[in-house]
Amino acid sequence: MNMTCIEFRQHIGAVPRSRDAEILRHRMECRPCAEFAREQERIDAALERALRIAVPDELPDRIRWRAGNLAFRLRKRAAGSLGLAASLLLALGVGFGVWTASEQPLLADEVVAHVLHEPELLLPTSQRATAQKVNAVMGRGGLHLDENLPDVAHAGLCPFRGRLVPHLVLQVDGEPVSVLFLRGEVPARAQVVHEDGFEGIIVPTSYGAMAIVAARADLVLPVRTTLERAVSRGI
Amino acid sequence: MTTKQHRFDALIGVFHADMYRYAWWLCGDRELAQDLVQDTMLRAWRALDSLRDEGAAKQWLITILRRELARHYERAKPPGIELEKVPIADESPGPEDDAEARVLRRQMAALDEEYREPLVMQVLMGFSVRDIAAVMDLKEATVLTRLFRARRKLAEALAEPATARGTK
Repeated sequence: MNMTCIEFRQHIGAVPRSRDAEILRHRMECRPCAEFAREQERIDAALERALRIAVPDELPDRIRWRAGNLAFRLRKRAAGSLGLAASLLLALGVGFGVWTASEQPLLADEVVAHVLHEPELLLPTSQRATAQKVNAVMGRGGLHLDENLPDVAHAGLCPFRGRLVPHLVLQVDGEPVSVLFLRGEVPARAQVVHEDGFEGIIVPTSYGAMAIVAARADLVLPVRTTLERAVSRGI
Repeated sequence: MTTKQHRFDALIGVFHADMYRYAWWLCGDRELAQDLVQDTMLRAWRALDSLRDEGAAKQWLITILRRELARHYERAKPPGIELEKVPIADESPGPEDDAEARVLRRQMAALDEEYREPLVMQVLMGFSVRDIAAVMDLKEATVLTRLFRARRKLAEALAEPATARGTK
């Protein structure tokens, strides 16, 4: 039995781009219905344009970033629970009361994941960023350097938890020490970082927090002392 | 880069925009839509080995996204769509299309979710009636009815004079 015009319009009214054989046949044979179908297709195209709202440019990177963190945490979990030596706490200049296992922080995971994300910055190098460059990066991160920092091998702004934060790499005794200035993060207390071959610390500051990580704990303390003195909130 | 990373990266590249738009048209909130897409992709990353057929990826992702949205709505009431906040893509060919697009967006926002969602799936995601029925766990006849009613409301709005629909 042939399709009626009502049946055709009901179907096209729901599926304007239908390629059903019976639909196509009716369309070929019925001029008014063909016109109706063309109008539905036009509205469908306009609707598609209307629905295509702008997509945030940063969304793919956000997804990749979070997936990278997840992968890192899963690997870490698979590797077993973390241990922490008392000597490490002392080497980092942290009192014994500042950290407990139950507070092992996600923030530390993300700091290490970020540092691992840029492995080329972990190599010893003789390159040095100019004081102008370092000051510019800190300034764009809303911070101010009260004194020039020696041996900054890298200075850049990095995405971290939805913000752009200054990331410095200092060379100390030929070893890289990575520092993230985390404006907006408000850890209640200092946290030790001890994972995936990194030792470090996250300390609360007047502008948020500062994370310092390196291959050895003894590299971290002098950098912490210098930066706590040199860095302040920008005007 | 591992094979899993390659597959995941391809999924992001191909689907993130449509997933975001789909999420936005359901929740009407830019930040929430981004969070939903990110949470969806994280779940997809965890379960990527279970995706045997890449051709089924879109439906798989949308199914995950709908669950994420349902989880969110268990915690918070749906806010509704505020058209003033619609981040419009700069793709409209001209002023006439802009006016038409405004009418269509307004009408889309006014549709009940049960009508809006299948229409977004059909138009943005390119889902067939059968796909939509599978994802929404509905009969195909129900999907057809909802699509027909949703489209009829849009067509009626377009047919109204500009003054009647409150546009200039």
